Amino acid sequence: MEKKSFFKTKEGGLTIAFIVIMIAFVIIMAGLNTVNDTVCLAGFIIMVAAMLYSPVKTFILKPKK
Amino acid sequence: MNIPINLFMWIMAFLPIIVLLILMIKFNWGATEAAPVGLLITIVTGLVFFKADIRLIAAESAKGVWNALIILIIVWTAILMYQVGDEAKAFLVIRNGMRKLLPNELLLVLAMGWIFESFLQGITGFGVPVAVGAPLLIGIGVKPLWAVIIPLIGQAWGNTFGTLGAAWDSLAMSAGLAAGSKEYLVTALWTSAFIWFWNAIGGFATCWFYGKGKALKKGLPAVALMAVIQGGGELLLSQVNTTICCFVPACVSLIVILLLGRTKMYNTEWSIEDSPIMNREFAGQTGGGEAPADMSLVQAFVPYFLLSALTLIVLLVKPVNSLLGQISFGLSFPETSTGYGYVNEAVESFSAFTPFTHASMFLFISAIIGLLYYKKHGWIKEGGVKRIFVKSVSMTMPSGIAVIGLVIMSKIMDGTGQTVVLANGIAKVLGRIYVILAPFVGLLGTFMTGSNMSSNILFGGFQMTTANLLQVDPSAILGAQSAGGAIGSAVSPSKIILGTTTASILGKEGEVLKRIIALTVPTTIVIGAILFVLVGM
Repeated sequence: MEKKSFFKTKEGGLTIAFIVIMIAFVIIMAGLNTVNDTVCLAGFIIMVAAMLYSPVKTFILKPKK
Repeated sequence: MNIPINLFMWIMAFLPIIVLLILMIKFNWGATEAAPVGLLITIVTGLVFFKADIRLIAAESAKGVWNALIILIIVWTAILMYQVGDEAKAFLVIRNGMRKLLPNELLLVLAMGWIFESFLQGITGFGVPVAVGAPLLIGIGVKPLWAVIIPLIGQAWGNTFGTLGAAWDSLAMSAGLAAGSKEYLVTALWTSAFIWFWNAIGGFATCWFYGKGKALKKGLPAVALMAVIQGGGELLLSQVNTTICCFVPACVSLIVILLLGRTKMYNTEWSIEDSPIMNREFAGQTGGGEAPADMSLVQAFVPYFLLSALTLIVLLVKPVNSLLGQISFGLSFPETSTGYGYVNEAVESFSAFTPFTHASMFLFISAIIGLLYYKKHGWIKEGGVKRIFVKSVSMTMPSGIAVIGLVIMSKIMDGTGQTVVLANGIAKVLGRIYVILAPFVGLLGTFMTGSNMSSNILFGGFQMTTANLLQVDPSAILGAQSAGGAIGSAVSPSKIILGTTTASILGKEGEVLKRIIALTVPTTIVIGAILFVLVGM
């Protein structure tokens, strides 16, 4: 049986999404500390995009048959 | 604050919660998929209708991520502890050993799904009883779905005074109750009385799930005795020491249930063959295999004994606690406000994390010592250590997104004033009838935030103000708030997901929620109705 790479599984995808959220978290904190709303916005958009990975993947990219 | 409190704003504030519930219950979405959608709606309502700016939303999101990270450390360490036991096949030993000690299967389910969780909730909390309890129940042959439902119900009563009274202290703090004052003790009395009611309901419900009327009849003496010890004991001790008033009865009940297994009524084999919650073809969560012949029941429980001992020493021995509590770190956040003047004050050290007195540290040390102990005895095979760590990380990640989404959602709702509108709206429209819904507000708070403590912080002050406005005894209302909050911990998606993760049924959160909500919501309404009759009329 062919072994699927971890990062191609759902768990792997969610792990990547988690890492992206952590990066976004750092960006938001940097934005808050430097009083820079643009940086805050960038971090926030990255975070929301990573959060939406699971519903988009499950119901839009691979909808249930 | 001048947020308009009208029907439209109330609906907008309620929208994220209702969407979350519909997606999970009606459409059977998992929390990992539903939480981001709920979050997205919260962001839109926050920006558009509650006049929040991007800085506020970003700050609240970062607060949410920070809080979620602290929760996720507990999830990971609880799963690590479970994986250690699973790799050593300790759960098979626990299953076989507990079956011998408690030959009555109903008593076994009650012990492993209610009493042991109460004990864990008394000291650790933060969802640990659910994360740890689910695999233990699977180990004795309970179907995974029920192995999540039963601990969720079983641990809920301990949420106010458990974790050494953390949620209770937050209620006292947010409502301004001075420790030891008359109001403090009366509120503790109301709270524990309502919790006692729920505690008994939880025990009887477990019997009902196991085998309807027949099991209810068989389990009646045991549940009645356990409820008297746990609920009654808590009520009495709440007047003496609120820190240990859950933990002490929980410990006593653990000893008493083992003794009950030796009484004439429960010392013989008894089970309901077609019990809907039992998996009769069960071959072991570890994918079959034999339990190690040389592992005793006590040895199988080593990590759990360690967990209890460590927690007790660190939390109850004051000098140890103060020494270890010195290392603490939190994040600083600037002041933010909405266009309606709803202000979130600046904080120097938000939600400070004290690693050495945190439940995750107790879990981690217990898991590592347990791992070394099992390995020394040869119960962890070649490559087992790597397997344990890899599995624990890959089991934690999927629940991570849901926990982060839910916590951020509650933070944004709180930070934009949506939570206040939600609660104020209910009180404004209903007048004194609100009393009936007071425990439901507590439940809602825990549903949203995942913690009885947060619910009390969020709504404690509001409930106090509302009680005074309606000229109703504030102690009774606060009692209903915290009891409702405790009950709410059984339906909180972030707690449910801990169980579905360790039970390996991730994505079934909606099914779990559907079944528990049918028990928790009516119970809070009954508590509210009793309260209304006693103080509201």
